[in-house]
Amino acid sequence: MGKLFAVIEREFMERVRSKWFVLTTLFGPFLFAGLTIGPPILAFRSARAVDVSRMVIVDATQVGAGNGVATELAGGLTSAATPPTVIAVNAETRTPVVDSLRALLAADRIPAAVILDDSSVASGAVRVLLAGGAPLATSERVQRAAERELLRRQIATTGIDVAVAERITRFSVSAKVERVLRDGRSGSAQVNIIFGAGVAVLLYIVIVLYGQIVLRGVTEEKQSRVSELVLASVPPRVLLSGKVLGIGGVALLQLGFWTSSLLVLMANREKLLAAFGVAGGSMALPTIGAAELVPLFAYFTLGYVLYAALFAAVGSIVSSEQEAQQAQTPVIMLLVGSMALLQPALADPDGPIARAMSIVPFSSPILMPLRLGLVSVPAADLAMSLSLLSLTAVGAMVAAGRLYRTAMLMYGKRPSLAEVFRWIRNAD
Amino acid sequence: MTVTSPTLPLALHIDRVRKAYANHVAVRDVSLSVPPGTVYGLLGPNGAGKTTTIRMMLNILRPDSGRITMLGLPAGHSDLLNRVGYLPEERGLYKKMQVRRVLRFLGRLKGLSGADADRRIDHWLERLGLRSGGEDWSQARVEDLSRGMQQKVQFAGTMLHDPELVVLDEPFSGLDPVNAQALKDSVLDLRRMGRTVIFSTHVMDAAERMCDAVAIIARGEIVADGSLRALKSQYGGANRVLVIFGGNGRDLARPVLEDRELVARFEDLGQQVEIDLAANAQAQTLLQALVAREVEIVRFDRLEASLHRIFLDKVGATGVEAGVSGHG
Repeated sequence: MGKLFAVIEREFMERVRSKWFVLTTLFGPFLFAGLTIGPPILAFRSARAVDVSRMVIVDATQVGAGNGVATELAGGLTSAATPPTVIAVNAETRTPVVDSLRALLAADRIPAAVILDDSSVASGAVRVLLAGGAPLATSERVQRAAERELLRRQIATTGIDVAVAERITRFSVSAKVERVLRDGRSGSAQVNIIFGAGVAVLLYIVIVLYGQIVLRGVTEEKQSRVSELVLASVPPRVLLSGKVLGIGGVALLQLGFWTSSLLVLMANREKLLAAFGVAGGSMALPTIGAAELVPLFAYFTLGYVLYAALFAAVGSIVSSEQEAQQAQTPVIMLLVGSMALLQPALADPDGPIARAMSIVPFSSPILMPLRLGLVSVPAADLAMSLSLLSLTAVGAMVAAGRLYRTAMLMYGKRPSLAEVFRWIRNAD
Repeated sequence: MTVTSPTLPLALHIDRVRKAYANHVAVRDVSLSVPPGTVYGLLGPNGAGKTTTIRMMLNILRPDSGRITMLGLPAGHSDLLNRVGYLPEERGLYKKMQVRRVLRFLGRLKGLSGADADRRIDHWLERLGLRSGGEDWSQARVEDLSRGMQQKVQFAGTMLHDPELVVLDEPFSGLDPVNAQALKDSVLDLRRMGRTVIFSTHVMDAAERMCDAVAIIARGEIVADGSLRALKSQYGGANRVLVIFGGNGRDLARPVLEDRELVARFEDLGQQVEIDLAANAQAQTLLQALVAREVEIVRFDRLEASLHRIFLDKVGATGVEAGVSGHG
């Protein structure tokens, strides 16, 4: 056991100490922060940046709709903001005025010009000219202001009470969708899908990322010829398990740090946004209990061990990193194949594809967590899936350990598949 | 052979071991015995099966048939791992790791505690000149060390746990004369402490000066083995002579050297000639013949067969050429 710990400690400490690890780990929270609070801040900034007072409204309606829109743009009758300039035109003056405004827009002297005419009042058609530098939110604000003013005029002509009309227009349907599951559990469908797919994608990324690290570690050990020295002190299976566990520890540490920083960020999203002067709605986090976490953790661990063993086996039979890139294709294909099934599994999480693939060991670490998030999986399915995965993972580790003994001392030509199987069979 | 203690088991016993690869037999029916406290040389040309034999001792390879015991335990026994030190021919270390951390790791793989390992690391680094006064290479990364220094670090790693049996595969390859001497001194120290050292080499000179006993291996077979003294008396002695000429002595001596009554054959090394006397000839007669021709002689010496000579006799030019597979 002491030797296993020595190997685990070396694999773990040497990686955690590396600049690569420190940088990628610390980069995570910045990326999450950027993704969660960046967009609302940017949206808010660009909305505020619309300078209403420098806009010009060209009013060809003859009924003074321009002034109404100007007031709405400035924020209503009670607002202290300076409303845009309104230029009333007739059929003759309209073209020269618009032409001169175009010149001002081209020179970026005014942010936007709004042209209202009879068709605006009749059917809501409004033309908006934007300067090159005008914020994107400008046209949206103009549209909303024009809508309110023109709607009011429409209502006034029909004789309905304005207050009643406004209440009617504000009516909209908001559906809160909830799935009722077999075991009586329920949850927001949206959040479950996002969560399930998110976990599947995360597991995929972590397995590929850290599987590659295992692969590179093995190839490096073989290339630098240090393996013979180590194999004279520890049996191959101890070296291999130590390597897989040590690197798995690095994965857990990084993943744990990322997850907790993400949770802290989400919990404090409102406060953070407020610090930037932006009001943001809180985001409901799915509540996950231990009952969901335990299988998730089991699938992550077993899936990682299975694929790490496969990557280690590939690393032990090749002689250089370039060769490793080629030789790992079959393993990558297994992973990519599982990801390709994500779409059908999401569409029908209780369908035959999803059910079968969540039991097959090579795809179950990715698809079963997804199903667990979406539907209630029968206990028998879960038990079968987990036991098959455990057996395959242990089998892969044993086979990789056997292959290791012979393959780590073989340089030069890559062995054929037949030779690989013979080495696995003949060791020990 | 040398010091044999009746209470201690053989340091190494190989009994009719065979190992074949896909297209050739690397080791065929090799048997060897190494008593404890011996410095034992495994000599042979490249590809003779030295490394394969050593890897089987260390249980890195499994023999196809035959038995190997070390220190009285079957090869691969878990108790052996911590009692044996091994320096492979294919040498390498974790390049990005700090020297001290690599050594601590190697020490812990041999069952040392961290503190114990640190103390021994200091001892070995100082002894091998990697840590002295102003300089301390223990904090450097392996990749920043010269090749020779890396080899010393590896040797330190082999010795950290104070093994009873040390196995060194081609330990002198790639070492400059100063470092080679340091390594030889360490091996002789080990013998003084009663440890057993088994090393493979094709450098006969080193083997001759250090070994108590040797085995010569060629084409996967043992062609000669035993104590150095026994081998030398078996393969020559009384009728071998070394002559070093002065002036134009070499030319004047030619008729004598070609006299089949006196000289069976000779190995011409220029001003120096190694002579095998003819069956009934005496060294004395040869000397008289040379003096009679007024040959200037710097040195006239009766020779023991050199290990080099025995090696060439037993392995022959064909044996050297037959060594084609990668490892020795």
